[in-house]
Amino acid sequence: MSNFAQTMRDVVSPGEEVTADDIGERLDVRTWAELKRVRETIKWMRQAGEVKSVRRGVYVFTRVARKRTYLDIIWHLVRSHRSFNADDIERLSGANRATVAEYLQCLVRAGYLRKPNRTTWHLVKDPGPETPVNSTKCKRLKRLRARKEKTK
Amino acid sequence: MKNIFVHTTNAKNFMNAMKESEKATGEPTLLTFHGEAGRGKTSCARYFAAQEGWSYIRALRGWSALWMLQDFCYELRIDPIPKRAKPAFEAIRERLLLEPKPVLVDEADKLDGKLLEWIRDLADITLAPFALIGEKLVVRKMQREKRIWSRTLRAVEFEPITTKDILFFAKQAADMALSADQAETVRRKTSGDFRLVSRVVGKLETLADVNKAERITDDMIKMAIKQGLWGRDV
Repeated sequence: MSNFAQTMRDVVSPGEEVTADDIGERLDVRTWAELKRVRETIKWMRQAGEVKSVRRGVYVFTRVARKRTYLDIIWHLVRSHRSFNADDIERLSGANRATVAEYLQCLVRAGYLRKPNRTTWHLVKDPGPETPVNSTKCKRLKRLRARKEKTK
Repeated sequence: MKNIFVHTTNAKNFMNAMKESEKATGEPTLLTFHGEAGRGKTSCARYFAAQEGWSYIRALRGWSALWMLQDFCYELRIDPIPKRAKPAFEAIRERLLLEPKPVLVDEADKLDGKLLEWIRDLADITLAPFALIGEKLVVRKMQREKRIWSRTLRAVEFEPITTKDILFFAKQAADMALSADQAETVRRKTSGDFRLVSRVVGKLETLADVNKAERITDDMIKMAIKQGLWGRDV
């Protein structure tokens, strides 16, 4: 589960002047839809202050220390414990129980964790230190947005 | 009882030593954290590594030099992981020179002299702090090699929990105000073992709830110790 923004960061060195087409070329982008995705991601990164526009259509990537989120902390703890219960993760992460439970369930669905009984969790597949995306949250947000659209 | 990580004296000492090592620029830094089992070394290391984004690696009994370097590569997000020791060492060096963040090695008593030498080399070249966490044996192994021991910035011992820590823990986790004498009794009976202290404080909270007591009495302390340390010689 890689992050597209991270893939873009990997192909552009900080301080280098690039255009969306340059990035597309480096990522071997072939369709208009894929290039659109590159442009959209640049837009979000500009809003986050990670990318600056030098002149029209030319951007510079800056190295911004990303703030660690609860998901990063939970994932780090999951990897360092290997076998654990949700109480340990809640205590050491400082996140609330619902956040921990939701993310652990998401990791189970992604095949990284197994829950053999009610309290214990085991890490069965370790994809590395990069935090896997919380797909449960994405689905929940999608549902909420759809509900909002309906009520409009 | 609230499920929170309490910053005990040991945790504060751990963090202070790590901060000091980050400030020590221009010289190789090795740190060691040692103490008996159950003093909270591993919890502390996991907590701070997760909060600060440091690399946490658990040493394994069968580690060879290549296996250890490859595990370091994996934790430092080096992709692809080199298959030989020299390129693996160089990849780690490059990564740590680019992002000099601390590396915590837990269960470091399992490292033999040769592996300690590899870690010393990495610390020398990259100037990134390397913290070795283990029981008393890790200090003895480091002291045996003068070159390693002279590079050790701090050797922090995890002591048994203090009376002050118990007062702080009861206040933070259970919102309970104990007197200094009561905390001292708990410390003496539990021999400063954090797990036992946590169990006794949990029992005290239940007793206070059941009796609807506004303050903790000495009888409640005795009962909580009896219930919490059931089966032990108290």
